[in-house]
Amino acid sequence: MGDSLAVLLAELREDEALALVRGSLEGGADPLSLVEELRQGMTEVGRRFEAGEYFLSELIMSAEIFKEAVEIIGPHLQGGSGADKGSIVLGTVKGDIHDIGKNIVSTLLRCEGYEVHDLGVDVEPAAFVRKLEETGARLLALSGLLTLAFDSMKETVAAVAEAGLRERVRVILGGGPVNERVVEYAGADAFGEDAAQAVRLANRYLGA
Amino acid sequence: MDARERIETAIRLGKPDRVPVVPIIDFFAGRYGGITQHEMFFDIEKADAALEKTMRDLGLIDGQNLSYAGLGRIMQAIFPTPPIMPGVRGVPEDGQFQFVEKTVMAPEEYRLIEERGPLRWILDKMKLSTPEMGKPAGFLKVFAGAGRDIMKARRSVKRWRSKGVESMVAYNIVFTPMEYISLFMRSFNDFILDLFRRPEEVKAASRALMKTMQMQGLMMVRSSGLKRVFMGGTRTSASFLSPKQFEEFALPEWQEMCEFWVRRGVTPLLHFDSDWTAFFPYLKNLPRGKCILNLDGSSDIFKAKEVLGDHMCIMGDVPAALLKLGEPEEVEEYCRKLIAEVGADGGFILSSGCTIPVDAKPENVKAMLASVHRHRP
Repeated sequence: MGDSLAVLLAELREDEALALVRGSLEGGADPLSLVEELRQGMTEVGRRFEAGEYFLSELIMSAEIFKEAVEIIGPHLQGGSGADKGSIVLGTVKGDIHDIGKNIVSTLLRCEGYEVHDLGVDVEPAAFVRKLEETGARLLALSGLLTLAFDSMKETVAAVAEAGLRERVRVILGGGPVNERVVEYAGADAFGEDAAQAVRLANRYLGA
Repeated sequence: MDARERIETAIRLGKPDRVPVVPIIDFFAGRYGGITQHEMFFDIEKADAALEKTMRDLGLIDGQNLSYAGLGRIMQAIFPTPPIMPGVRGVPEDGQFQFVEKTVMAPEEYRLIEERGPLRWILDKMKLSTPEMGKPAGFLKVFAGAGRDIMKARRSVKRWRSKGVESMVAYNIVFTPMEYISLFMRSFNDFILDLFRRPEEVKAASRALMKTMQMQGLMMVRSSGLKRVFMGGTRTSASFLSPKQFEEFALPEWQEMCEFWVRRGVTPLLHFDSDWTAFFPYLKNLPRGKCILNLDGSSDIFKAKEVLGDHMCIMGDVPAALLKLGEPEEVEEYCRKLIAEVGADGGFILSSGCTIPVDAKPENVKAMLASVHRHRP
């Protein structure tokens, strides 16, 4: 018997992992248990990343395999993927179009089991507010690389407060120059130094 | 010592009369000097006047690191995917310059670079992203515009030199093949996946592109008369790649590129954004005393001094966030620490971490420029 799906994913063996998913589904395996195995694989990837054995490129590759696998499993799932850890609204703030970091965080949060509403780049404060109202999400993740993004982050947090949502919604920040001082300037709750930390913050705030 | 001697002494790991200050300043100077970002990119005379005003009010600089002033048309001619450029294609006149993360090359195309010939392949791509370049008239217009601005930039370099301000690189902008592919062709995410899925094709494409990248740079060096080249590194940094990947893919390129320049008496200015700290030991493979390591505030510059202080000139790294949100005393304290620690024994140039942001506090810029006169290593 070969390696488990979790192991194949953790070792980034893309072709073998996808072949195993297809084979298992044909053999009548429970699709939800396959998703669960993929999550275990991602947990192992996360562990290796924290331990300094894996780097961001490996995180990106693992998330890609996860995504491909879930796409294959998707049609076999009835009643969702079991991803019910909560909703997160996320985007790069107004005036800024940098999305490398945002996309990585978005993907990893999805792998972690969150429902992520990624609004893209150059997102107006009002669009964030609308999405928070619509989804009832309790976490807002804002990204930006330019210093002008600090002002947009501040504006966005103010708009969330204005809409009366600040009590319910935690706001986390990310992006190259973002630090504790920017958190304070924008009136946010915390920032993530890297993508893994963004996931930890989500888990902390959404109680996973 | 004049500014040029001061800078050259630092590059050769010597100790100048004081630490030279050489920021990327034109985004900020444009706004401070009362012109739009579009004018800064497309009208070098206005940009130079704005910088003069900035220096009059806030203090002198020894040199300009990369200067974007007047580079708008030149960038449009050498960048195969057009960045967001203030005042161009609906972007506001005073908008912010940004690169666009876009995949314009299919993974199967790696093989095409060699088959089609790298230069022709790049031109094919440029015609796709800038349709007017597909017609001879449009093509000529783009390159004639760039040519005119190159002449203006050369005059500007001379003007500044006569005023005691050294231009580090003017428009001498060169990419290593993988940085180029990731930034302009495949986009970040796809490029990373390619390293796992088609490593040999990526390496072959890199080999195919190397000569073209070098020749483009050489033409610029010859026309500008400045024997330094600006090479941006981000996508092959330790923020993204594993050490194994860096060794396998990127280090050979950086080595080959730097050795190419150093053999010709040209100094590579390695403008390394993102976190390179874990890769510092590898940089010992680059020629000693011949390169500048310019960090943006994401790498540990103090660690750079420890690992590379006797190997390459270190340049940096007053963080953009500090210049926008900090107080002058904090900026001064950070600069003092850089000068005392990274500047100890020479081999250090004070600069901004990447660029001085357009919305930096003027009093913070003033504190940064004054620090080299107030503090000694």
